[in-house]
Amino acid sequence: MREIFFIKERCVECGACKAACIAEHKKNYSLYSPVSSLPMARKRREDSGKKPPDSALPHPVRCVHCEIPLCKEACISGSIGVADRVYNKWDKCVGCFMCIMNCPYGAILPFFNKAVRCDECLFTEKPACVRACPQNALIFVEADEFSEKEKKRRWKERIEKEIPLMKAKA
Amino acid sequence: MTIKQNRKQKLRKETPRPASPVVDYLIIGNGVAGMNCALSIRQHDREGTLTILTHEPVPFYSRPLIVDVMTGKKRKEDIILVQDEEYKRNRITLLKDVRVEKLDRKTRSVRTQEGVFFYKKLLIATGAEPKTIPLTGTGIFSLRTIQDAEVIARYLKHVKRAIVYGGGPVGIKAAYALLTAGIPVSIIVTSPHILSRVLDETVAIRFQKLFESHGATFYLQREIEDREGRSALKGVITDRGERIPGDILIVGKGVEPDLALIRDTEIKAGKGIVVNDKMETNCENIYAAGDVAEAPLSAHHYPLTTSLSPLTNQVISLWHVGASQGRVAGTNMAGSTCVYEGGVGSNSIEYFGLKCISMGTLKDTGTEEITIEENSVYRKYIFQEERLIGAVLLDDVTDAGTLLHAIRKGLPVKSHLLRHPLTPYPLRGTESISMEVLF
Repeated sequence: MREIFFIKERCVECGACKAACIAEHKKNYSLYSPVSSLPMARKRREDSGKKPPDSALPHPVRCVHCEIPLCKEACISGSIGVADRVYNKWDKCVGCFMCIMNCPYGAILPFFNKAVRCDECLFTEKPACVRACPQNALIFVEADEFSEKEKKRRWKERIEKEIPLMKAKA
Repeated sequence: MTIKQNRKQKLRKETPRPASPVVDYLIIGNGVAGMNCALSIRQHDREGTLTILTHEPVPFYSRPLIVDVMTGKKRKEDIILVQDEEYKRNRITLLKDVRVEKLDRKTRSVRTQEGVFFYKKLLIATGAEPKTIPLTGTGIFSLRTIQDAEVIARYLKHVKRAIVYGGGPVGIKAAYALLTAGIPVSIIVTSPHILSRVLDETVAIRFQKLFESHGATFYLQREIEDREGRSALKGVITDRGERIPGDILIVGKGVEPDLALIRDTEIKAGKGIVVNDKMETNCENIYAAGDVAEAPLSAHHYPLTTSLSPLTNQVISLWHVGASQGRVAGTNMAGSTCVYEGGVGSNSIEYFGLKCISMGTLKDTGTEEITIEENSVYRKYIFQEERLIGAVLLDDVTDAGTLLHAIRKGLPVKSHLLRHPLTPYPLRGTESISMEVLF
């Protein structure tokens, strides 16, 4: 299964991914109405507000889409469904936050009185944030493919750094 | 001799078989454990016949949401989670309004008013019954099934003031539903503060003040002695001699396992039916799950030094614990192996917009408590040596799941949590997703 990966060095903190996420999960696909209306549209991306110790850059909080979703077991209102990916039904959620309590990855976020997760934009080819990223800092690939690419990229970077040094020494 | 034996065998063969066919999987109880068991069996075995017996007249519904039916916020159809068509699609036979009278282990049968059912594998998921009080008469209700909620909803039309007896999650939830419906409530609590088994004192007092500002009155450390009013309820009298007026009394004193079915059988039972980590009882082919089962606790959660050894069984009456027990039981009944990891008592509550999640053990000997209070965020961690064994989160509930996972697995997270108290999941997202820290 393909997943969203984040390459930290490429990110310039433009916030296009966040805006795209909001627009994608509002039904009319426009940006202005979800940003200005209250309550705001769903934002499924964690941003720098919480400041993880390592980085303050925006990054996706991914749902792993487990085979046996513990959140679905815990849900008392039947608002969590499984169709290839695990997703939340916005209108059925009663805001008991049982799913947040049970997800071992911390991938579900409370948003006003509803629980929200990244469903990787169901029924689309690529998630909206990946489509919106101008720097290609977010990529949507298989895990194996990503690790191979990542190896090559790091190797390339290392060579690019080291060759001038070697030249200088010589 | 041989001829006689032959005759006997012939006779045995000629005796008519019972009319009702043998069911591969028989489930008693259509609660969350029974339903999850049925769905989990269907994932592993598409062929075998599957029958669910329930004494309720509706298909699977959400029991925690019946308080909304009580106040009329939701309709009865809204909280039904699995419709009749879905039962048909999964080829599950649901027999409603059937009360099981007797369980016969030798002939592998279950007797009901509808007839006798023969089983190959049986799951007992009869759930729990609400604890009752000695008082009777009109105006006194307990809240457990959807019928109870409907009866109360009809009665509530003439009610001006309500009394709730019990400060547990059930009682407080009922009181919250009544308050949001605009009915003032008096809450009578036996223990020194509300939700005493779920929350610590600081958080409980905060919730109590919140309830009081919305029109609730609390009577702590009191019990009900007597009722007032002969035909209709007019109030109650506490053991301190106070008279509390009210038109309805809702009893939410907690629940206890319904063991009526197994009383005269060989199935071992303490507080509930004792099961092992595969949800099997001591009898062959009989499983138990849900509120009725006394399952082993998480082995990692309780080290040997505490008062509870890892072998202790306990009844945990929670929705998600019942669901996972049902899933484990179903997988094992269908022939695959699945081990129950053990439940941890955990509760998520939200009243008047204030969220709170509490999990694990809150009071135990030999523990260390660390409280963090940063602008309206309150967090309390309870450690035993390096392990986290309990936590209370108020208002900011993100990452509660990671903490529960740490409690369930007994992970040594103390040093990390002390460094980053508000971000238990440290390496989120970025390139450095090293799972070794938490998994």
